[in-house]
Amino acid sequence: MELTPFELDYLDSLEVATLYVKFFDLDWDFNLKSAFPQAVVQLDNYKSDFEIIPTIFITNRTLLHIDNAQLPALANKIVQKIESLAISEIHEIQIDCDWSPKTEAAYFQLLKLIRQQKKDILLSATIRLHQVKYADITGTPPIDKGMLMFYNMGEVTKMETKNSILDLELAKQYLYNFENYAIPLDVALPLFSWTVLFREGEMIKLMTNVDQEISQDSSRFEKVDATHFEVKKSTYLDGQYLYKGDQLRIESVNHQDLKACGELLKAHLKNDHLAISFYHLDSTILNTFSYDFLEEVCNQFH
Amino acid sequence: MTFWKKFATNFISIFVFYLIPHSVAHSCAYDPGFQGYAFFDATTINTNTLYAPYFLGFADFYKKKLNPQKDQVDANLLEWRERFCNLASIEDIRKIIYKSKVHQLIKLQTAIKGKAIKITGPFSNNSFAKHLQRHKCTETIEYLIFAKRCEPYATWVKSWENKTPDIKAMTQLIKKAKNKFNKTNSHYFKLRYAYQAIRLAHYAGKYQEALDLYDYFILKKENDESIIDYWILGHKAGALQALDKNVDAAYLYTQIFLHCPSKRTSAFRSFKIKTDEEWQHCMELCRNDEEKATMYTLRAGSRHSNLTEEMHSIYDIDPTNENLEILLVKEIHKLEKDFLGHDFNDQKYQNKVRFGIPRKDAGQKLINLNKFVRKVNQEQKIKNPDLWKITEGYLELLASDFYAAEKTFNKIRKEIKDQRIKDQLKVFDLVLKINMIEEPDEEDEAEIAEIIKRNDEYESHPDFEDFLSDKLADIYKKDSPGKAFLVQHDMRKLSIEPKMETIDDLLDICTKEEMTDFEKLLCSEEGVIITNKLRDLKGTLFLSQGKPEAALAAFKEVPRPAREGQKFNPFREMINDCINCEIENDTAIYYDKAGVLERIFELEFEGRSDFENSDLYFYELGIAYYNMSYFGHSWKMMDNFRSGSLAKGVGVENMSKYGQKEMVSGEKAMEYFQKVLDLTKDEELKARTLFMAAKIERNNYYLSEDYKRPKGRNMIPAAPPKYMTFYKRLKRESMQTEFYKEAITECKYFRFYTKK
Repeated sequence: MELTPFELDYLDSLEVATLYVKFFDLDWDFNLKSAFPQAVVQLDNYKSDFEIIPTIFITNRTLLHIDNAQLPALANKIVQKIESLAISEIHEIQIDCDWSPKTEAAYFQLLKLIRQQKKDILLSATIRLHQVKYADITGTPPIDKGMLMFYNMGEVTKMETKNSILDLELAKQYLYNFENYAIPLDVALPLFSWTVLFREGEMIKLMTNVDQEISQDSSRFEKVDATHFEVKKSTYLDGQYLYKGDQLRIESVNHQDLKACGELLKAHLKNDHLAISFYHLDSTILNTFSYDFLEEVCNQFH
Repeated sequence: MTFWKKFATNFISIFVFYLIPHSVAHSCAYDPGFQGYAFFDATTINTNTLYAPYFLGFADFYKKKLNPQKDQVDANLLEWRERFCNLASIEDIRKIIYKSKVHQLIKLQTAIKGKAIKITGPFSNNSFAKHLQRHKCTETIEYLIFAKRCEPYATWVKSWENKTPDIKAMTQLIKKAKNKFNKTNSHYFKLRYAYQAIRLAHYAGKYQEALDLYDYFILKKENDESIIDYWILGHKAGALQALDKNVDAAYLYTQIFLHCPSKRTSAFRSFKIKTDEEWQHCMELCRNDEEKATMYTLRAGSRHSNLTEEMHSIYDIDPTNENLEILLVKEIHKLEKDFLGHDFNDQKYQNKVRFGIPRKDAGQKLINLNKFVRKVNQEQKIKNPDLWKITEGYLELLASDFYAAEKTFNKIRKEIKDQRIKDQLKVFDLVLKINMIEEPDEEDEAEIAEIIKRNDEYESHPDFEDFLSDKLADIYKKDSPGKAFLVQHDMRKLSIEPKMETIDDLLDICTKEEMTDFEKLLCSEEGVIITNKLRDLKGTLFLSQGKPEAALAAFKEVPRPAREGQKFNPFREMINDCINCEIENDTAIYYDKAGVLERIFELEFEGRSDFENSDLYFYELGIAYYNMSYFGHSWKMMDNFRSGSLAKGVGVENMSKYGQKEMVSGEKAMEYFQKVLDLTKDEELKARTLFMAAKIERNNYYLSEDYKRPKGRNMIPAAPPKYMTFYKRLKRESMQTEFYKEAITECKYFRFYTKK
C-alpha cells in the first residue's frame, strides 16, 4: 500500500484519523477444501500516522463450504494473519461479508469466535441497507458496531439502471427499521466512480478511470446522453477490447447527491459517536471533491 | 475552528480497499443454468487441433477439461523420455523428477558415479535410475539435483503464512545456474540451466536480469528444439510484461500459444493488449499470417468476444486458418441458444429473465454470420468447404426459414464427402423434421413413434428427447392436455400435481380400442399400461376435492387384483401422529381405497340411523378424516405426495412451499368431532374427541400466520390461547378419565400444553 503525497495532503487537510485498509480477501479453495487469504496487503515499508483498521472480505462461498468444526481454527488463523500484517496496535477489526440465509449461521459463529480471540478490540462489520430493513430475516451479526454501506444500491448488471452507486430514491425504500436495529451504525459514503460495459444487453465489465477517455474521444465513442456512450468502432480501452455497438454507462457520485446523504440518513442513524467514512481513497476522485465540500457533506449529519 | 472540533462526534475515515459491488437487494438462489438444445456437434470439426478449448469457451473448457499443470508435467516427462531414447517408463521418470527428494537424488548420484554400487531405496527398480547408472549420466543427475534445489523457489503453494521470496538464496542459485551452464557439456542441460536461472530471476522480481540472462544464454544456445525454449520464452514474456513492455510480451505469448501446447493455457491467460496502438505494433511484429491470425484467435477466446467480427479478420488474413472452424462452432452454439426451439422451449421465460437469452440483437448476429458464411461458400478459399455448406443450411433453419434450409441440405447432400459432416447433416435433417411438425395426424404420430423407437440420431443425441417433447407439448397443449403433459413429464409428476382435465384426456387416449403407436408409447410405463394408475389418481383427486361418491366410482374402475397392494385403515386411532405408520403387519383389518370409502358411507348411514350409537360412528368418521389428512397415517388416501415442509400461513392456500396442494384441512374431521361432543354422554369418548379436536386446533396454528417457529430445535411451539381451547377443555372437563392419563403419558405435546 502506498499513498501519494497528494493523498496524504488531502487526508491531512481533512484531519482524517483513520484508514480502513483491506488486509485480505478470504476465499474458498475447492481443490484444497479450505479457506485461504487472497490479495494480501503489504504494509512492510508503510509509515503511517493514521490509525489503520484491518478489514477483511469474506466470500459467501467460503462460509457455505466450510465445516462448522473448522470455524474455530479459521477464526484463529484470521486473527493471527491480521496481527502478522499489522504495523501498529490493533483497536478494531472490520469484517466485510454479504451474508445470505445459508451462510448466516456460519458467519455469525465466526464473528463470535473472532471476538473470543480478541476480547480487547472493537469488532465491526459492514452492513448493507437491506440487512437493516429486513433484520428479522437476515439476522443481526454479533458485533460491537456496524458500518452501513450507503452505496451500491442499484442493480449494476441491468442496462436500465441509472446509477447503481448512489440512487437516493432507491435508498429511501430501504430506510426502515433503523430504530430497531440492535447495533450502532457508522456510515460509509461513496467516493468512487466506474464505467459499466454492456455487450448484447449483458454487463461485461466494470472499468475504472476510463470516463475521461470515453467522454473526450468522439472518434471512438458516441455520446448518447450525459452518462451513456456507444462504441462507434471496435477499439481497445484500458486493456479491454470493445466492439462496435457496445454500450457504456459512466457512473459517479455527484456533489448534490453526496451532500443529500446526510440529510437523508441523520434521522435514521442514532449513533452518538457516529463515524463517517468515505469509500474509497483514490487521487482521481479526490481531485473532483474539495476538502471543504467533504466537510460540508459531514456537516449534513448534524 | 477545525473540522475535527466542529464535528466532535464525527470521525472521518477513508476506505482504501476496493470492494466487489454488492447491490442492496439480491438473492443467492440456486441457478439451474440455461435450458435449451444444441445440435451442432463440436466433433464435426477436427478436435485434435491445437485450439480445441475454444469449443466451450476457454474459461468453461479450462475448468472442465484443461489441466495446465498436468499438461506441463506430461510434456516435460515426454521430452525426458525421448531424450533418453524412450528406454525408461514415464512413471519411473516421474518418480525421479517430480516425486524425489534431494537426499534421494544425491544417493542416486553416488550410485551412478561409483563402481558397482547397487541402487537401493525407492529407485532400486526404477528403469530411469538404472539407465542413468548404466550410462554414467553424471550431468543428468547433477542437473536433477540442482533443479530440485530450485524447486521451492519456483513453486507457489497457497498458505496462511506471509511468504516473501528469499531473494538472497535465489540470487545464489542464479549464479550457480550460470556456472553450471558454462561447465556442462550437454547442450540440452545448458538449456535447462538457462531455464532455471531465468525462471528464478523472474520470480525474484528481477525482471531486467531475467531479460539479460535470456540474451546471455540465447547467444550460447545450440540445442535442438525443445519445449524448454518456449518455457523460457514464457518467463521472458512475463518479465517484459512486468516492465510494461506489453507489445513484446504479447507477441511472445502469441508464439507460445501457437507452438507450445504445454504452456498454451498460461499464454492465453497472459496475453494482454492495452491500446489500439499496442495491437497495431504487435501485428507488425508478426512474421506471417498465421501469427497474425493467432492474435485474433487469442482475442476471440475471451468469453464475450464478437466472434463474427474476429472471424472476418482471420478470414481476410488467412482463409485456411483452422481457428475459423472453431470460432464458427462457438458462434453457432450461441445462436442455437438464441433461436433453436425458442417458440416452444418450456424454459424460455427463465432463459430470458435469468440469462438474457435470446440476446437483444441476436437476429442481427444471425444475419451477420449468415452473410459471412455465404461469402465464404462463394469464395471457396477455406479448408473444409463441407462444414461451411451445411452451416449455411443450419443458419437458415435457425432463422426459421425451413423451406430454404431443406433446399440447401438437399442441394449439398451428394456433394459432401466427409463422413463426420454427413452424420452432422443427418442430425440437422431430424432437427428440421421436428421443427416442421405442425398438427400431427395419425401418420405423423406413427412417424414420431418411429423416431423415438428407432432413429439413430435421436437415440445418440442427448438433446433430441427434450427438443421433441417440448415441441410436441407446445402443439398438443391446445387440444390434448394429457398428451401435452406426458410428452414432457412422467406419471410421478402427474401424481404430484394432478389435474382432472389431464387425467381425463389421458384416460380417453389410453382406453381407446385402437391406439396409435405413439399413443401406445405414451400410455405405457415400463411396459405396463397406465390406465389403472390414472383411475386411482382420478379417485384420489375427487376425494381431495370433497367428492367421495365420484372418488368411489373411480376407485372401483380399478380392477380388484390391481388394488391388492393398497392397505389402508384410516379408522385406526393413534394418540401420537405418525405419518409413516401406515399399517402394521399384524393389523388384521385393512381396506383398499374403494373399501375405505364404502366403510365411510356405511358409518355415515349408521350414524344417521342408529341414534343410540351415533357418537361412536361419528367419532370413527372424524378419526378417518383426520387420518386421511396431511397429518394422519392414511394421508395417501387423499394425496400422492406429501411435502415435509409447509410454508407459514399455508392454511389459506393449502400449499406446501414447493407448490403442490397439501390436504391440510381438518374441517371435515372437526365437523364429526363437534357432532360427537354434542351427542356423547360417554366421558371417555368425550375425552378422546376433545383430544382429537385439540390436535386439529394445534395443526391450524401451525398453518396460520400466527405461527412462530420455536427458537431451539425439537422445541414445542407455544400456541396462543385461541388455538388452545380444546386442550383447555380437555384439562378442565376430562382430567379424571383414563384416556386423559394415557394421553398425558404418551403425548409430550399434550403434557406440555397442560402445563401452560
